[in-house]
Amino acid sequence: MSTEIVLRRTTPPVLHQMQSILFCHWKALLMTFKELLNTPVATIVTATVIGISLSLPAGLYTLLQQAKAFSSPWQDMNHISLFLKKETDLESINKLRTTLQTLPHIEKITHITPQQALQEFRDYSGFGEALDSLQHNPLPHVFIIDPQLTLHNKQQLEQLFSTLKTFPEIDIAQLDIEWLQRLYSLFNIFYQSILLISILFSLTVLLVIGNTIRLNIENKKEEIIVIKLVGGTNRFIRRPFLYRGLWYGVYGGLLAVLLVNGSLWVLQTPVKDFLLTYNSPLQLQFMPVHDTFLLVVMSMLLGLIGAILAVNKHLHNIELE
Amino acid sequence: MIYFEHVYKHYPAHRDALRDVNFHIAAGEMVFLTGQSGAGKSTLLKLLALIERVSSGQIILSGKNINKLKNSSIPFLRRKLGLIFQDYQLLMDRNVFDNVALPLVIAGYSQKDIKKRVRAALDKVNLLHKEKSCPITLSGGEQQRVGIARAVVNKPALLLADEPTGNLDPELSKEIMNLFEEFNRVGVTILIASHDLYLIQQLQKRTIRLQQGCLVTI
Ligand SMILES: Nc1ncnc2c1ncn2[C@@H]1O[C@H](COP(=O)(O)OP(=O)(O)OP(=O)(O)O)[C@@H](O)[C@H]1O
Ligand SMILES: [Mg+2]
Repeated sequence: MSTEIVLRRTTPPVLHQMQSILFCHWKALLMTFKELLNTPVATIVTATVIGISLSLPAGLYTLLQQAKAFSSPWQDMNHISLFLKKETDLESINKLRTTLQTLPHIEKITHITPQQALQEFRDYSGFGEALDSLQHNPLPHVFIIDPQLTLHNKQQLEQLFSTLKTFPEIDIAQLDIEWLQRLYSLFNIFYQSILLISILFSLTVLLVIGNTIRLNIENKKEEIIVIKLVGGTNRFIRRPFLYRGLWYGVYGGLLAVLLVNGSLWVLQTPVKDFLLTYNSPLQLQFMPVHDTFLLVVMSMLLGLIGAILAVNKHLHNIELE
Repeated sequence: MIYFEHVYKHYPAHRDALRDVNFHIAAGEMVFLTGQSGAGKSTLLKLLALIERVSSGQIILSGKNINKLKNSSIPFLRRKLGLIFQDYQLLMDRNVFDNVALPLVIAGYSQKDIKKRVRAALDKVNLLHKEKSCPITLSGGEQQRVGIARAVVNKPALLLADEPTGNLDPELSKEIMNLFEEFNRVGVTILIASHDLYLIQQLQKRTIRLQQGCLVTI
């Protein structure tokens, strides 16, 4: 035992220290993992709050992505829907159809009678009983015009559209591409909203994790003091709290993945029925792997950042006394 | 080893916790620090461990003015000291071994070294058989011995003890003091704050006495 104090920093050899720093991190990671399991209720509550907060934007985003994917094949389908005036009789309708067939650039005309439309609506809308109580069928005759596939130029399409609009029997003519364009601007609004929601809920997650870590620091006050007294650096003291934040983030992220996929599973049947009304065999998909991965990583980062903020704010409030 | 030169300490609420304190402790000495309650004993030890900073004057430890030490260097100073407290300052949710191992874990020793050193320290305080116990299940004397094992596990050259026997009966106090004497015999410098005058008299060591922040006997 030496009799003089030498105020040098290094105690063990440097190489050894490198190893032991890695070991310290690994140990802190395991230790915080075990500690969180030791207080399951508190951990579950925190993870649940994080999970719910993240599942909302993540779920909306997943839905929107699929809605977009579902609607994209329509981009090539430039239907024109012609809704005929209600008072038009069958004879005029047949005459109109013949006239239309003589027009150029028309590939196919599909006639949907009010009975057919009602039946379709009854089958898929879920309003069957309400429809039964109607005195008479409110739906008009509809012609769906498929333009020739060569007619991809928007101008030509619009020309055809304006020609069709001039027929007196036609109440409303609808170029479905407009509807699609509107849908796409709507998608954009949704994306922006989801971005805003994500930011707000990320802030929520930061606050929740920050607050939890603050309580953890309070609870560990005595331990922190003892560690300081026997020469623990601030870094050593911070480490377990940062790992705690990381774990909270991981748990919360995984829970969010579960919640989103669980909700998607619940929605699968109704969405399938809905898509059938569009004759689409598509199904609601679970979260894609890379989105899942991204969500967990983001959650982990949020946990870490929340913990860093809390530790910076609250750790030096603990004084030795 | 330790020089106090015109050391003053003011607390916001207490102007003169220490007033113009001057003394020297040589390496290898065992010194008692006495004085009535509120005389400034704990304050003096806190200054040495940089738990508090001096208001003016200097403290030279091994030729270095510790007041010049940056806050970030304080942990590395503390690793060279052994601190012992009246209330032991043990972690109740860890067993005896882990408590004693704490300074080594902090300093980044390997598992193997930690085992070896902790066992050696526990052996010195006669508690090897209790390494798996929780501090809460130990008697006051045993807890203080755990505290001492933790203080010496780093093999510090200087031990600072603040009322180490304050909560113990005379017999246990004697036992603890004998431990300190043992460490002192192998060259460790020891400064013990205590107001147990009877015990101090028995040991026949140099005594520093404080009175309302002033040194009265050197
Ligand atoms: N953090 C503080 N803030 C303000 N005053 C303090 C603080 N710590 C100590 N004091 C004051 O400084 C004086 C010296 O206190 P100190 O704790 O050093 O005395 P002591 O000799 O250790 O007493 P005891 O034997 O009761 O432990 C006391 O009057 C005390 O009130
Ligand atoms: Mg005191």
